[in-house]
Amino acid sequence: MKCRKALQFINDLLDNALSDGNRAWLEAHLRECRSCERLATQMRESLGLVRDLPLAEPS
Amino acid sequence: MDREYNGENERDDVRANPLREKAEWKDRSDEELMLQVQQGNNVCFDLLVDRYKIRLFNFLYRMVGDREEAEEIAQEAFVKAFIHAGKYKTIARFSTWLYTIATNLVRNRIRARGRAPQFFSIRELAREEDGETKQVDLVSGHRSPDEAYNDAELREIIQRSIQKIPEKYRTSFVLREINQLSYEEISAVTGLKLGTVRSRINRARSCFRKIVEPLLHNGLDF
Repeated sequence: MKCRKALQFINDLLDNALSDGNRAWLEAHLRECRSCERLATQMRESLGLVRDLPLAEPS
Repeated sequence: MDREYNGENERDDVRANPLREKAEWKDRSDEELMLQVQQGNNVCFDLLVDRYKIRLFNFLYRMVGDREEAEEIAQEAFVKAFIHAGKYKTIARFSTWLYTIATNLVRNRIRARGRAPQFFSIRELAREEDGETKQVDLVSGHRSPDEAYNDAELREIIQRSIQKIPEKYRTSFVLREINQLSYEEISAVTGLKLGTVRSRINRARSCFRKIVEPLLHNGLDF
């Protein structure tokens, strides 16, 4: 249950839409849950690949 | 409303200086320009095409994975927007309206193909002309992220990974992550409820992570 909540908060974080209170909760959870901590890192990295793609130019 | 748009301003021959006319309108909002288009001012439509051609192309390219097809659909979307300009109502943002047209076109294309999402292997990407395969260098610890982004192969892998996301989730994902639309805008474009948009984007992100994570895990050194 906590991990499901964490996943939602990770998504909110990726949208820069996580409140301070929820961020503190998430950070505490990530300190104690390696699995969610790994998930958060992977989500951030993989999404970073997409977000940093250079804009393609039409010919 | 029957109109033809051939990418040229039909009033060029009667206007002394179309470039000056473009400059005159260039700071207006999209919606103001569309009102002008509805009154027959094609220069304003040219300005809208200039504003949106790259963004629209990128949305379509990430959706279909083929440059030529993306350009074709973009052209089709602009022509459709021009022909149906009379139906546009300024209560909606022009960008929302245009993306809605493009989303419908791309969805029809993908469905007409009638094929499942393409699966690929790294070996396939690396196949050389003589039929031999070479190892794709995704794992060099010596490359900085900037250098990695210069790698056309990596971009191709990301592109194909995006395409492996089911179309149902991919549209919202691309509109959000590539085109940076808000959830509200995506809801307006797709006609989905806000909660559905959120859940589709979250699913797409998880899906994308599962596709690319092994590649990262195997050595992309961020």
